[in-house]
Amino acid sequence: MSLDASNLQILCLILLFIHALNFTRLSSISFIAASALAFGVGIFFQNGLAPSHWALAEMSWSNLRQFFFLLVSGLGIIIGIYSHIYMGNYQREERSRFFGYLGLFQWTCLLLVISNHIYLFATAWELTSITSFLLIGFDRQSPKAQRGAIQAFLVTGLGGICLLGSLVLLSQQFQTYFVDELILRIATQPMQASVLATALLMLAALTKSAQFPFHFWLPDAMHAPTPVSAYLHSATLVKLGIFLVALFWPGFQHNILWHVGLSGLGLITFAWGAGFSILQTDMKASLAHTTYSQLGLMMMLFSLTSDKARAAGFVVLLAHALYKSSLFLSVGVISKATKSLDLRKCSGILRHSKVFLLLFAMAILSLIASPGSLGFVGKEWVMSILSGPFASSSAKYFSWACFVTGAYSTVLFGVLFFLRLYQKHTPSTTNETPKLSTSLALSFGILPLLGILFGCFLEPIFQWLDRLSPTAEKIESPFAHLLSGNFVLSILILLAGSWSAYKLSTDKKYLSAGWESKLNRFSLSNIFQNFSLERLPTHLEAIIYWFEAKTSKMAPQIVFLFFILLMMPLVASLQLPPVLGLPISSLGFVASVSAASLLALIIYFISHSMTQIFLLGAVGYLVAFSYASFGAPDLVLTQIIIETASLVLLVFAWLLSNERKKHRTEKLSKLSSIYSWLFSVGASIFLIGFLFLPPLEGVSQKLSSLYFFENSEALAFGTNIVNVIIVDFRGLDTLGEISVLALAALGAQALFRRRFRVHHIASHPFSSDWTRRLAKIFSLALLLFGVFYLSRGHHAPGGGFIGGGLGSLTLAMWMMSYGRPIYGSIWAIVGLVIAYASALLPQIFGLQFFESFSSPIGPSSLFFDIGVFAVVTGSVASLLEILYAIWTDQKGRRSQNA
Amino acid sequence: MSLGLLLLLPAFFGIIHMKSWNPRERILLGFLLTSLLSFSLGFLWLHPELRILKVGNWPHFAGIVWILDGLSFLFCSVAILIYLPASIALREQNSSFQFFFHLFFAALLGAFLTADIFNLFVMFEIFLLSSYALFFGIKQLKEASNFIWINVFGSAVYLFAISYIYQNLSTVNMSDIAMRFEQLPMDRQDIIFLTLSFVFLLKAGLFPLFVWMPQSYPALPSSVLAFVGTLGTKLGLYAFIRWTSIVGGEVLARHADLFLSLAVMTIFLGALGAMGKRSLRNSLAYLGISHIGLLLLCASVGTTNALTALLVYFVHDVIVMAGLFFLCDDIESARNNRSIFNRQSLVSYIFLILILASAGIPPLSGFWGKLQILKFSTQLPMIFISVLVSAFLFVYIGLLIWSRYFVNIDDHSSDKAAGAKIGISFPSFYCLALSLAYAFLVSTQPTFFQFIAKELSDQNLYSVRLHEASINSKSTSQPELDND
Amino acid sequence: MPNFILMLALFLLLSIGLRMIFEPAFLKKIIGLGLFGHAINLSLLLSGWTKPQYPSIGRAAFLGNLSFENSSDPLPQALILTAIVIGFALTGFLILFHLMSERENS
Repeated sequence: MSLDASNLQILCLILLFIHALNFTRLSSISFIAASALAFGVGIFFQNGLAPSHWALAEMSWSNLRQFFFLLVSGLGIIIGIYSHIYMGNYQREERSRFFGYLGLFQWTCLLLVISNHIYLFATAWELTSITSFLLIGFDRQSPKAQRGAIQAFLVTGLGGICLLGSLVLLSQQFQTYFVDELILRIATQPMQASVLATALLMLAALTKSAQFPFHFWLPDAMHAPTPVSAYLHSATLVKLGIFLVALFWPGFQHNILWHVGLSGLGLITFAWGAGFSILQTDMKASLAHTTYSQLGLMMMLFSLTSDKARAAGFVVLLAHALYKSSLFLSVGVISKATKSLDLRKCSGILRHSKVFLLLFAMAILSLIASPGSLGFVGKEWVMSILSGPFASSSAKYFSWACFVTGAYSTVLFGVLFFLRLYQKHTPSTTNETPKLSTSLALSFGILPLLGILFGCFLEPIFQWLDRLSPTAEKIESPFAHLLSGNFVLSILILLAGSWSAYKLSTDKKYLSAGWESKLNRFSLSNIFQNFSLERLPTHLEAIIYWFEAKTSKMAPQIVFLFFILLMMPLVASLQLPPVLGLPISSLGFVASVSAASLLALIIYFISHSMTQIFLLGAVGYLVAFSYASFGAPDLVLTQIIIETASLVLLVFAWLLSNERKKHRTEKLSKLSSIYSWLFSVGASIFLIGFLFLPPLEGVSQKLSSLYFFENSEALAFGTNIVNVIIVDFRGLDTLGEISVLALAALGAQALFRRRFRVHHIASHPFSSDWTRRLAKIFSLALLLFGVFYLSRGHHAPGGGFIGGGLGSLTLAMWMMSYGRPIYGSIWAIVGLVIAYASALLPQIFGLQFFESFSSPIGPSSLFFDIGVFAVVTGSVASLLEILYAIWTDQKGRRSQNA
Repeated sequence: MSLGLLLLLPAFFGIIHMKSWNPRERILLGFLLTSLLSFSLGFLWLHPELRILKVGNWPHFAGIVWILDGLSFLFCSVAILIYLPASIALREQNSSFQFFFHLFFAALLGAFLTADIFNLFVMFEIFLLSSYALFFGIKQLKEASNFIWINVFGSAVYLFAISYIYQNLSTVNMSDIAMRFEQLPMDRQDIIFLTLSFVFLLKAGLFPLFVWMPQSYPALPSSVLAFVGTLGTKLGLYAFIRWTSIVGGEVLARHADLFLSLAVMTIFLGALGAMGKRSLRNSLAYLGISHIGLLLLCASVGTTNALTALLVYFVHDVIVMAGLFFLCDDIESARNNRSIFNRQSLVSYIFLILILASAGIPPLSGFWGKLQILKFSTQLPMIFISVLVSAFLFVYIGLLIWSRYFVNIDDHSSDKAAGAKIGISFPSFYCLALSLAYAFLVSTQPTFFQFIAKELSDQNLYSVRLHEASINSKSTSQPELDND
Repeated sequence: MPNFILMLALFLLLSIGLRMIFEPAFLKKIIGLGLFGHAINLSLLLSGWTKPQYPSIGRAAFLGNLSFENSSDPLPQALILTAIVIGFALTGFLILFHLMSERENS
């Protein structure tokens, strides 16, 4: 197996496996092992693509990617060793969880750096945000940490979404799904990249690297354990934005928006962060501010066109990685000794360990970019770039202003930080000297050492830069021009900064001030947290409650209004005078329908409910008459029976309802009444109007009805075509319909059984003998009648429904005369079973689903009709049963109360 | 073996459930039904000649036809997949409840399979009545009122729409409608299209027609909501997709602007509600509304890419929302002692993964759907930006819920150590596993959804198959095959 | 002319039915439901486009000259039957639901 890029996927899998072991006892060991493996392998990998069968897993390797890969894995080794000691006093489960999360982060970060498919890229980007979220919120008991975690995820999550959007846009524009290919194509046609895509990509980088105005999440992310802050939030995660910018540089290097946006914001961030860092008393928070300020500098460098800026950017990046992580790790050592992160409580701590002092001083030297450190090299190059040509003079002034402010403040901060920790300001409260763990210090000692070494011996740096980011002109050592203006300026800044720092370090007021509490109210992060987690939801809650309150009362009105508005544009289609195909000439039909509508009108104007109910019954019967004059006898019968049953239900509903007891029923207010009328009339105009439109010529033939007439006798064995349609041709509809009926009955039964006792039904049979006998005879007659209708349904008006309606009345009479429960629901269930079975039955005989056949007993639809009969009987009967039970219950209670 | 089994099996099982079994036996019955249904569905899918069922073997214009095409297959399989955890979560309910629940499920499957407009109406009615029976305990008359009467109006408009369809097209069979619809003049097309779309969008919950929804989720066990709430709106969605594929793209394009803007409003109002509501269940209900808005957005655009995106996102949405609802009740009861994450990592992780999936975080299931949506909307910049903004809002909502229930962000409240333990139940775990499996599957093989979307766009497929099948059905005389 | 009367009649039925649904009293809503149910059924009937004619039924009629042209369209009638039964199921359920919840709340 050769170490070229084609084996990247295997490497990833191996790393994942090893990192999975972090969750076990091996925690730190497997983490360190994985980091070491990654680092070791990464040094020797060759450049190239790693294609894969699964396109999503395509990866690639280049110098840039290698650099970040080594950075992440190399630092991982050190952090691993450090954390092993640092987390020594944590419980085993906590440690496993820590290293598990950390390992996951490292893996996703490495994945991001080597991924080539844009979806994999976006995925890894988000995964790093998620792992960072988990790591910041590692301390589950601390509300601050949780808030910081949520805030970080919100901001970087926004970036992730922007990245996704940008990548999707770009991939559509340039027709490729692979990052390397995409960048190449953008480089050849830079004008084609849309402004939106560019802006989104920039947003992604800005949020991830905590640039202004998205910088505020970084200080609050410091609530994570210190190794996390050192690893993620100074050296790796936050550099991913820079990685993005560096990666896409070939495509966007001439893009104005890219330049101006990124460098402008970068410079502002540089000045801003450095300034704020001075005002912090929390060690980690102050370091966080300097972190994002340095990132601003890098952002600026990587967004410029010149490759010299790019080289400078890499130097700054490397230097920053080295010294910032060592500073954080040192803070970790200090806080472990003094149990505090407050600068004021840790004064003089550096005196207690020579080794530590030395390492710390080296890191500070690199921070302030003093000659002899790598940071100095970077700063010199920055200044030489800033001295170069500019688009406009105001840009030049602006850049220099930001740069000087930022550099000065950084020096001030660095020296002050050192002095505060070195000088003893507060007398020690206890006699014991805090013990600075030497092992911890040594574990990361190599980092600041490298910073100074590279600063003094520049040759390796130049060689590395040549490979990584070749420049057109040869880079010169910063010591080449000892007396140039830039050099003098940097020395001046150093001196000024150190002097101010010395002054401040003796200023008692400054030293004891707790700036954070004063700043808190105005700090962007607090505002953001407060807003997003408290204020905004509360406001929205108020809005949504208002919305719900308003709409819950008005919901039907809203629906109607929407319907009317939807139909409005179609008003032009309405025709007056109305046409309806062939003219309706049957007098009976028109007369009965008109009579029904007049009765409806009367119903509206009468307010007494009982009268309204009977008038409704009359309407129903008139409608039945209209069916008769239309030539639909089945409908007539069904309508009459159903109307009677509804009448019974309604009358009893009225008698039993509490509304009757109130002497005035509620009415609508005048305004609501008008609205209701508007809505009803409006909806009706459309609904009825669309019915009376002129017939269309030659659009369609009624194949169905033709077929029915031709085939109903021969193939369905019946001559009552309507009934044949119901049980044969469209039997499935009927199946559904009886299920609905059964559901209604069983649903009512279920509600009933929760409240009432069943024996109420039986307690009040008809009292008088004669009534009972009459009832028995009558019910028998009804049953015979029902069965008669059932059997003749196929050839004459009748059928399962009509028979069933009569059958239900039978059961009701039985119930009242014998005084026993009739178990209507069982009838309904039995009927359902018969009906369902008759649908499946033909398949046993080798026919299709629900096919009609003729048997010696009768056509197969008879079986189905029997099922329908049983369901209708049972359902209507059980509805009546419940009604009767409620009635007798009420009667019983009344007689009790009397 | 026929498509009718898919309707009748749940109905039979519903009847069987009316006997009082103990919960263990009900679990077994649930597994039994799921396996029977999955087997039948798979068998039917793999046998193309069985995919069209002419009920009663009547020619398609005379009888009812059921068709199992790609869309139906997808919706049916999702319904069956969610049925299993739901039946397990609901095993404690009484027999009547089980009957209503199973008939609800049967109606759902029937609606997905039917190719007849009136049969669809009947299925809708079964669905409605069973949901009334499921939802309403005796106390809730007030909330019931809106729910009932608005749906009554919806059914009324549906019947009117059927009368318009029969009047103008002389058929109630979907494939015949598909073939004859283009010949209508434009205003008739609009009338028929808008009326029926109104009904389906009412069921689905487009703004402002969702106003009856959140309040009508009364104090029910959230496991019921997991099934009924998530799949109920999807029924309306399915009907809308089917309807628009039948009537064709031109008529949809005429009204697409209206539907698009309403869909965007739905997304944002739903997100607003999810952010504002304090209780988890209401929050999730509004989140569901927001997701439906996103789905309807895709449906309104109607192109093949949009439909692919819709289908990818739809499956994820049902699985993840069901999973969240399954956990909902337990989380709310444990909420009295905050910061669940402190005490119970596993449940918190499950919830975290699910909520991140619903937010569209890669590589979880929501991401792939979001991705498809973003891909097709690059041509429509306003839609693209709305989708991005809504993606961010979903992340925000997820984090808000996390902050309210799982971690303690309040400096001043103390975190009580003791608290109700949340058991890890099978349903939520199942949904999580399903979501992860789906994420993996769809990232490697999105082509199945493209195939379904193409099939839908190519609407002649629906009618061509039927006409081929017509030749073999029985009649004494040959009906004319050429209608136009 | 008859068409106009018919349209007006249906319009009255439907709008009064819808109007009554807005009433707060439950019973009035049910009455409204009944009214507009009738309107719906009649509309379905009219969608058949044929004038009222001989019923499509009966062996005797078949032996006579019953044919597609001179009888009423049976399909809408079947649909109406279904709609009637479903409407009744809904009415029954709602009435009982209302009665029982009244009792529960009192």
